[in-house]
Amino acid sequence: MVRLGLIGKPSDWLIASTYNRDILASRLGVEIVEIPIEEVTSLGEVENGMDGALRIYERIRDIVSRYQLDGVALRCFDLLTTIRNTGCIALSRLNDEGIPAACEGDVPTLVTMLLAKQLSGCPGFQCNPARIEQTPGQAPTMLFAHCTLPLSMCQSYSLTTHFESGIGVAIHGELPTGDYTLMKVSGDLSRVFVSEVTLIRNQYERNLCRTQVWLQMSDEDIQYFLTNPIANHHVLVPGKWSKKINHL
Amino acid sequence: MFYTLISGLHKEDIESVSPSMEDVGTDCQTVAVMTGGTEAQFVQLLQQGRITLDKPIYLLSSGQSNSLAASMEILSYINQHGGHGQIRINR
Repeated sequence: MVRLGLIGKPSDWLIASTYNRDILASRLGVEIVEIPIEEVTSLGEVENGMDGALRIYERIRDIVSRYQLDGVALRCFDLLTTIRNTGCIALSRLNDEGIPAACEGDVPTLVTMLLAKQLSGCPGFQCNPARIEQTPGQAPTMLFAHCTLPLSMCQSYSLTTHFESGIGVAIHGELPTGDYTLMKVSGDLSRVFVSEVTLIRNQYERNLCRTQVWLQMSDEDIQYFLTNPIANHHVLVPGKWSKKINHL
Repeated sequence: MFYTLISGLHKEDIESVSPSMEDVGTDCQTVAVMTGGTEAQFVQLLQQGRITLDKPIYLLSSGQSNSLAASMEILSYINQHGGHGQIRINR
């Protein structure tokens, strides 16, 4: 079995990101291991900067080892009020180490990242849709953003604070332009979204999560997002993988 | 019916969402999702009977403050529970 740790419950706002434990086990061989958030928050308040962020990483890395996990989803917002720092660096490092690590306790997104890693070698960038631009006569574009990603996906990066809280250490990454695959699997495996998109530019605005990328996509993709998305988080993976995913 | 959802998680200046006359008509169910973190507020509106899944629900979204992300989570919830909805982007 593949063991995926859920540290804390899924974030309260993930009202459409439930998962079916039995289906994940029977169809994917995935076991969800529930771990109390206190195993991280018992650190107590840490330094606000990188030293504190690395202590969070070390604690989660220890959890991954002790529970023999192949991936982890963290209820990261609980760290803001207890530890007074963020899990962004920890999750980034784990992803770079080949351990898919998702924010906000989002299990379907973690499963998507696991599949992305198995297909492409990269767990991908868990991101929120942030903005849509539709200009007549041009391919539509969407802005996606989040506060952490694998540094191995970046051509450059800088460290800044987490968006909503203004504390901790988050990542503004600049990704190479070119071909990517945007994907998401529902928590009961009944739905899969996969689309090959083009990353056309990076940007930085203050009132958004810190890594921000514009993707050019099809009109059908835009309709999917506006009428029937699989929740909000999606995973962006370098390269073109739709044929392999559809084959699965 | 027109409702506005905003979360205290977001301390930044919030971009306003401007409904049209159509959005605020009595036959419409329109929710302006101003920020992320508002998804549970939407569920409360349903539980209180102020919004019904029996009629279409329109979610007005801006390009700031995780408004669009929250709108998508809410829309996904509506669809999962047998309702019908659509996101409208604030221009």
